[in-house]
Amino acid sequence: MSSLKESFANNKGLWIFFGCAFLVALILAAVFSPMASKSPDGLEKMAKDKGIASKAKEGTGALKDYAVPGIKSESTSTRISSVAGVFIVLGAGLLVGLLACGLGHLRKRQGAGADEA
Amino acid sequence: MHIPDGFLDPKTWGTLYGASGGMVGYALYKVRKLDEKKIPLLGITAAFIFAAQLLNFPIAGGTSGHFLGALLACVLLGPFEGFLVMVVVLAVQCLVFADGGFAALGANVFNMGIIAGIASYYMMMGMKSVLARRVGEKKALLSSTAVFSWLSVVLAATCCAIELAVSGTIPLTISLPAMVSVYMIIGVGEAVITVVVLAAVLQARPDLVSSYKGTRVTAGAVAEEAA
Repeated sequence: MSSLKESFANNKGLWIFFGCAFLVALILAAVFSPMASKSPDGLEKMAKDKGIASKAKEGTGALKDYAVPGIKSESTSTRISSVAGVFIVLGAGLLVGLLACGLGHLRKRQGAGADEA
Repeated sequence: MHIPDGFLDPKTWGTLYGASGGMVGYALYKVRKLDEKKIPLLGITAAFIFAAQLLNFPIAGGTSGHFLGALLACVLLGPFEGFLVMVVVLAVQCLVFADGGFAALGANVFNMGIIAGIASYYMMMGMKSVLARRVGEKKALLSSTAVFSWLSVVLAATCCAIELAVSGTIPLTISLPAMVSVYMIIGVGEAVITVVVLAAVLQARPDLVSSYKGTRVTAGAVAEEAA
């Protein structure tokens, strides 16, 4: 990971860009999420209109329907769950990136070993 | 168009779990040489797409639509990196927010990751390569992305309609026109957001856009092509 550190030490602009992009995501989640339209989306609307909506099974999730259980204010609940989601997705995305990168390194090491032999 | 559980029968969601699972494996294999610089970009793109998907915009007839972002992710990061970003977003939406069913996750990844992402990306690149010689790479990328980000949403909706029909939930003659007509409108929003974000990234950090090489229509580019 030292090359990662170096590449960013030499590349402040890149960090600033990443920071700005993440800030935009946070602002969308924290400020604008309660303003989103509450109307059903295309699939939900069709399901409603064509009478198949009742077939849908409710799922489960810690922040089901983008709400935090126990918070009465709908907009606060939406804001908190949305911001939490942004961080969870960021973490999961980084993990997948690290995993992919790790797989590459493993392969490189195996490749180097093979070359020596 | 996150499909909830109960709309798909086991043969349909099982098949699509297989297809999507296979593609996740193949994508991880394809991106194994991932540049370390791309790790933060993967996380941030996923976070941005998740946040943008929260913002449903109203369209006609008491319906809303929201950004999908699959083609944007593929254009920015490459098709398989972009696909994995969509898998992350869809998996978190499903597991944490109960947005899209767990049994239907494979179908949702198929529609919004493989069809709207990888497949739309390669079609977009085809149009881009044809256009690039005439109008330059930047305009070619932006216009091809506009067309195929719209189409990506329409195609994903078409697949969704077919899956519901194959599952016996609703006849195709009903689901297809209903889905396609609505997502043809939502797709316009998709195209606008995708092009605006892509243009902004091209302006600020063109080096971060994997499908943009920065070649212009100049004598040099023509000579390069000839060589």
